[in-house]
Amino acid sequence: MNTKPDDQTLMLWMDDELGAADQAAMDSWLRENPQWIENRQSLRDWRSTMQSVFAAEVEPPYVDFFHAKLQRSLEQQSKESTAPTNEASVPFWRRFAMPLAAAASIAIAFLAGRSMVHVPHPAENIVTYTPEEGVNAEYFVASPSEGTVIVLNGVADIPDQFSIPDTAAIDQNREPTKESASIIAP
Amino acid sequence: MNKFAWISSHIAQGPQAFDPPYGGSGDEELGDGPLVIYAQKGDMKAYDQLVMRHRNRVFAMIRNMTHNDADAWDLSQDVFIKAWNALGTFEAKAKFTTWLYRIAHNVVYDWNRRRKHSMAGELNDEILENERIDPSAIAIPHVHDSPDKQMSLTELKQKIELALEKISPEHRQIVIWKDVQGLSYKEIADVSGCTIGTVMSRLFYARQKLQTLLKDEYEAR
Repeated sequence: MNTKPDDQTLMLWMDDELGAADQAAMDSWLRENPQWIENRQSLRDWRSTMQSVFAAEVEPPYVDFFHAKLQRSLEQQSKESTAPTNEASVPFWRRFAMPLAAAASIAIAFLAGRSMVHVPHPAENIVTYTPEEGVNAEYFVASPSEGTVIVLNGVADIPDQFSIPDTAAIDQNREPTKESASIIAP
Repeated sequence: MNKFAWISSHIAQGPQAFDPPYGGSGDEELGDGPLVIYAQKGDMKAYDQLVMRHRNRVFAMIRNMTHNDADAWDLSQDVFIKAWNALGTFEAKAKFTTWLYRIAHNVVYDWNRRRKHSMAGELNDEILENERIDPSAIAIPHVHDSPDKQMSLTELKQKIELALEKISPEHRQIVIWKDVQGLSYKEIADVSGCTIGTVMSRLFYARQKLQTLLKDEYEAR
């Protein structure tokens, strides 16, 4: 083959993807155009550089949490999708009764709840995750400040030079212990 | 094997014979195909195996596009959630990785489109003057010919990242698929939904633009 191969064949050859059947014809053309072998080597060098500076596989940070969060999202989704939503099975009279009942409930709840409403504290729904092995996180609502306290048991000693940012407050009444540290979020 | 023989052989082996054969010691590791079939039936454990198998590549692929660990982490989550939701539409004749990379590509594409509004001022490679690119040049960026051969890997990475930032997301994505992830032209065509000819053309121009950008970079040093 003395004529230049078409662009597609040339690119496949440059990227080391040319099949064995086409390779023989390519070889005879290359004997007269040896500069293309150098070009291919330059391209191989480029790919090698790219693969050395950009990893093709990287483990996501906090990989356990990655799986846990994904699983929770999928479970949440499946719960939502299996919730009963079949309107055809709802009796006719309930379609009118339900909005009325809901409106009445809201009115009663408003009147009753003005004095004794329980607003769930964010701490009641907290899901804690501690990436470090041996560290357990506990949380509770501190009264009377209504702050959420997260206690990390098993954390290594905090160095003396470590400064707490201004946005966090230290509980002055609590004696710091070796095994635990607490941060109060207002 | 008739039904009776099948039932008796499975009962004889005990209940553990009905457990899906994954997550074991490793020598009986399944390919993607059987795991996908289990996952399509709602087996989350099988899907978790698939995630475990492909998360590193998906995460790296997205991180190479976003240059940000946090964004790549969130987008990888999106990819696997979308893949789970669309698993019913996956047909066994396609390769699972190709299908998964296609979802990753769409997720990154949507993310790029959403943040486009806040990217005023970024150099669009479509604006890059064509006369600055030598059309007869061979489209191979030359980083080894740089005068500073002692350039550290980190510095080199920064230079290439900077150059990649200056080409369009479509071109950047193809360079990463081909030159970093090592996908074949056929795989890239399947993932991107383009023809092999389009992939080749895009890769050619992407490499040519990178060559020009990196050449300018070294000449400026």
